[in-house]
Amino acid sequence: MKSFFPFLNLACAAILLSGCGRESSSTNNAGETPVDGGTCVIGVFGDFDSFNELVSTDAVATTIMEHMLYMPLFEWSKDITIQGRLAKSWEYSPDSLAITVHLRENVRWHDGQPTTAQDVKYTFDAMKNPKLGYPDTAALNEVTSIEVVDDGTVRFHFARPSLNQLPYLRKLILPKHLLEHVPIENMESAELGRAPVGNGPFRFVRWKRDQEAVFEANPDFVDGRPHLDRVVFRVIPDQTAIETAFKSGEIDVVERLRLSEVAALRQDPRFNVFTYEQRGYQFIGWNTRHPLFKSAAARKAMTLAIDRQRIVDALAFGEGKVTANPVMSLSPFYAKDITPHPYDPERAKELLAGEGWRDSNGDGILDRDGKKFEFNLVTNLGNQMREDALVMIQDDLRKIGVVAKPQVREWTVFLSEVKGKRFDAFHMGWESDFILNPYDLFHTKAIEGKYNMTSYSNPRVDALIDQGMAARTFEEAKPIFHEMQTILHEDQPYTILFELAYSVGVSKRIHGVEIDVRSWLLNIEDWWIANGSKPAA
Amino acid sequence: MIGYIVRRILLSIPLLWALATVTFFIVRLAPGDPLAMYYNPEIDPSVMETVRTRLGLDQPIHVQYVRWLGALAQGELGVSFKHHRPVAEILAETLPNTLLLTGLALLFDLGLGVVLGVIAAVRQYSWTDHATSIVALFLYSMPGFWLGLMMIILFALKLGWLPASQMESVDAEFMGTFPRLWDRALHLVMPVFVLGIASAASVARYMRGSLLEVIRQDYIRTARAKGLSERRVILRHALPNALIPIITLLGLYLPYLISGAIVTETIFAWPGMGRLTIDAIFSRDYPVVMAANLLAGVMVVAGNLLADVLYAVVDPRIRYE
Repeated sequence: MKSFFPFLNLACAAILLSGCGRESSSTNNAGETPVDGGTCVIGVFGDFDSFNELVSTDAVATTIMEHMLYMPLFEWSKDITIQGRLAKSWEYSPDSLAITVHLRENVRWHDGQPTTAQDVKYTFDAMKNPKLGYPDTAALNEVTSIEVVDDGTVRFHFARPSLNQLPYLRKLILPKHLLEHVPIENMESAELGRAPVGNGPFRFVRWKRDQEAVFEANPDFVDGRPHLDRVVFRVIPDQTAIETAFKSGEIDVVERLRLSEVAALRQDPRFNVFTYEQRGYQFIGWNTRHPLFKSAAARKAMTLAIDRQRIVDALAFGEGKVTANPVMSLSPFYAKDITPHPYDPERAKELLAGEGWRDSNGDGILDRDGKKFEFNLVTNLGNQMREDALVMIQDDLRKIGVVAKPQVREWTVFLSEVKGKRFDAFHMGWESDFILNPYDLFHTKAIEGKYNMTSYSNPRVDALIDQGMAARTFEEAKPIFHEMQTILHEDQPYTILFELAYSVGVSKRIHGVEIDVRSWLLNIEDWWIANGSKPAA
Repeated sequence: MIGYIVRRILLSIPLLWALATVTFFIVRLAPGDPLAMYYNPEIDPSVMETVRTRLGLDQPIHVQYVRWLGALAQGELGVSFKHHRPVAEILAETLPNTLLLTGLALLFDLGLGVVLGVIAAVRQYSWTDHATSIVALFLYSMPGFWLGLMMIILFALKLGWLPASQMESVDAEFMGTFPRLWDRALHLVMPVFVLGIASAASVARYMRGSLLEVIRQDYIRTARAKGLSERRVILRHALPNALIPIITLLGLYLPYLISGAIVTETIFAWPGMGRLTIDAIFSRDYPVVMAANLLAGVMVVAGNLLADVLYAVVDPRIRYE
């Protein structure tokens, strides 16, 4: 059983917003001994796409694969550093261009075959295959080759030393003997995606499309069998229906509670509510080539004039927090001493006045050289929170004499406008990870063809990004990225709005649950049910 | 008759082709991108292009159309973008679920609708007639999602009599045959009721109107004059003729048997065609959208044909050459 207190500290530091301490972050009571048995039923909103990591793009399927079915080579530890999972130990070559990884012994696939270095090599080679279109292919190109030293040892060769060498290897390993006969172009239809054979704590039993996926304890798991006999994922696509099923005891866990329901469920003695940060953030990107937003002072004025906390309170029911940097706040690289710009419309007006913006004709709207301060603020259709946020932002900016015209565009149209830099300002959100790759977002070389849509260009930031990405360790990179965040905070190519906080509802029937920002199925192998009782339904 | 049916079937082929073609272009030209989730700074932009090529979406739309039509002519429905499985396989899994739900709902709504309609017609302007009409209109106007949620809250959450969602309980496979059938039946009660009740209300109104018309016919007066019991007059003489308009309704309901019931399926987490289609539309899963659409088209054609043929069977005055 993983210990209880260290996580509580982490959670308290991070989840100030949810009033941590009211709910415990682990459901273990001291002195209770976990027992084996029982079925845990988890409600999810949508069906899975595939249990083959090579083709799956579905977040819940990926979570199940990582924590139940397969063993990743490496994983994140509690303090967000890299720790081994399938890897027992590893060492860098003196020039840091190779990492030799020793695998754990006695790890077996669910069909009894041993997991070996051959499987590791196969998995990485397949992910690197340009014909496949695996999302991380570009990052994995840093790995030039994978060499099988012996059955239990594999060596990764890198193009250059980089900060993300080990995080790149954080991939779950697939069984070569079940995939090698599948041509890479036909990977979509590989049987493994429908009937996965892994090496993790749970084995696949059955998957009925749009209904349920069932997994059972793997008695031969290398760390010992998990406590639960079975884990059943039931697909319930309606928000109200899933919460009703949860309240009536038909399901034990709701993957994600509605933000509006979280506060009430926290008060309900039958449930534990676990809150964790969204891995990502919502922001406004300013077109730094646009005459209005060329100057950092004008962009900063926009940030100061937007009451971000009001948006979190009104649209996310307080389940989120205002952050300062384009890095997720629990990343080890997040510069904690940089606080978000305050909501200060007076200061915003002063900054704009300094730029020559005045209300010369008394119509309540700032102007300069006969031109009004007005622009289009665009977001994508289909995200109600974003559409509502635009209206609140319009309202805030109007108070300082700036006219923002909210526009909602269908996704492809939105995307082509944003990619083509045909916008004044746009609102969207990024998913992000603990590791940092600011290159694609803020490097001058990423303006064409990558994700630097604001056309932000600052030679000092470019240099810091290059230097930070080449660092060997997180510790070495931290001060470099800290300086980068300080500059971005002043330059404000993005106005960072907020991070959401998501909540998982868990019945008190389930014990031993730990959930944090890494995953909501983090320690499902340690979950247990007193008396192994079956659900009431 | 046989010649007529064959002619109708042959005529439906160009109709279905036109339907498929129009749908193909509308679906492709509609805004949206099946690869939207690849727009993410964690993923290199080149990956999106690789996947686009692999799915054949980089080709000009007319090339995609010819490829798709060629495959269709050979009975190939393609592979779902989202589920990474052949569409035919997905349909084979989903159709029986939908048929179970919509078939029972159809029986329920026809049965209940006809009975209520007959009662209302026989006792025209009575207290029963007014009550039936009001209840029918009330149920007909009730949005299915609301009725469904209210029933879930009442019967699943408050009373605990019925399961809230899905087709079976967890661990149903460990039950014996009869407990398992019973479990399945309990899961069917609410969705079938919600799905059937609104149509039952409308069938009742049709039935009432149609029967009232028939009752005023001369042959009914004759039957009464012969001294037959009222029961016999209504059930043997009036009802069969009054049912003819209901056959038209049946023809109209057939496609909906297959296309599923999106609202009911979503609320009760029933894994049927409606949900499959809507999910596919939202995720721009073109192969599934096209297959579901084509299937619905086939059912519309088949439903109309069946209704026409049934007319001839029940009404000897109708002859097709």
